[in-house]
Amino acid sequence: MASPEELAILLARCALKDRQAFERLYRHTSAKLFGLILRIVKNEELASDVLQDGFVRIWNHAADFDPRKASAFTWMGSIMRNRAIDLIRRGHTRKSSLSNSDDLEWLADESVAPFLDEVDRAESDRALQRCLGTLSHDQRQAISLAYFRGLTHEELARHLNAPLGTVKSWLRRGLLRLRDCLESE
Amino acid sequence: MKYRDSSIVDLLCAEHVLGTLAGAARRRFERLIEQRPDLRRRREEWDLRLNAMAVESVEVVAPPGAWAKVLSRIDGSSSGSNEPGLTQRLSFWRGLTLASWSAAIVMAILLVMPGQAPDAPGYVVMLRDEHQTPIWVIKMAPDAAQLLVNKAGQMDMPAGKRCDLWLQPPGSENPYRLGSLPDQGQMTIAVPENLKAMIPGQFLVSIEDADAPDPRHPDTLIHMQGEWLAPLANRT
Repeated sequence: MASPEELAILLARCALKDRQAFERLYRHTSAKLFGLILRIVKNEELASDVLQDGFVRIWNHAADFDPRKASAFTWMGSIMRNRAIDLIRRGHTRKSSLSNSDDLEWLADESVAPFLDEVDRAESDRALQRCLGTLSHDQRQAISLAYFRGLTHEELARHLNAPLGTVKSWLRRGLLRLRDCLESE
Repeated sequence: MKYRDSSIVDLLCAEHVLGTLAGAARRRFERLIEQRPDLRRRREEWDLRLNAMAVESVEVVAPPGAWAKVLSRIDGSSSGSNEPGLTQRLSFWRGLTLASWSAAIVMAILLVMPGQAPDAPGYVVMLRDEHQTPIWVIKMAPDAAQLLVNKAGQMDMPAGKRCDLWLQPPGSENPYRLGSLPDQGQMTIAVPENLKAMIPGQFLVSIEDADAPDPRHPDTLIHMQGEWLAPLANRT
């Protein structure tokens, strides 16, 4: 994938309706974004629809990107994630996927641990990984499930087979701990 | 809800980004955030923190037809964008009355001002109409001495009218006139010494009679929003 600066420039060019820049942006980011979407919706056809919707939105709203607030990829990832989560909240995708035992197992195992082996990360990403690593397993799992699956408090409680109050506590304590850790990095 | 409790507010911002803030609580928070720039900033901080998780996704090659579909959709949505039709021209004036213009920020300085020297990148703000069509691109040198304004898109201006550019300092009710915006091409607007300290501020655009003397107050004001951006071009 291109550097954050390169992606930011490509986005700025997209804001000026530069097709060539848009194509390069797609080439550099679509595989990573598709992986993210697929992880959320777990269906290739739906993921492809979300990817297309997301890139159309990126093309139309590239001028809204502000690099002081987020990296280009973070901004694009946020668009894709929001659309993917909207989709599973609107439709039956989640219901059907959650009725699948493999998927339930996958959800139960959701954590950031599998990513820890990845190399070549930006420093900020390494900081996130380090800080996620300081959370308890329950806190990390709750945050990760909410992020990658868009689960609500109640759904998290059902999945994790824990009282609602406990799940909320995991989430909130985990988030505050994550914030404190990232700020001290 | 104790919105003044810093930890609670921080959690609300985090859960809004995470998606676990739902129902009435979410709606209340979204109403509140409209009025609280400090909350927006904290929410953005959480957006940055949590959405960095997206980087950790494994790459999966998208289906081969996806790109073609994206292209066909943007072709459909942007056809004729260089030649504004009646709808677009009418909507410009509707946009005036609805005060619905917006400003957005871009960084591609050399792209929009190919004739400009690359050694004074300054700051850039793009002013767009309600269809997101860029109308003016404003570039400011780092010393804030002048603005280079480029007409970037078509706009249907009635005869006898012009657009003026104003600067509204942060926290001020009063806009200060900077100069007239170009109908075409580009124009340099000198920033008065006493306004330099007010930068960065908010740009406003007004519609004035073309032959009117420089007004002290805007006639028909179009509200814009946007922030200044430190340029990428300053990097070495």
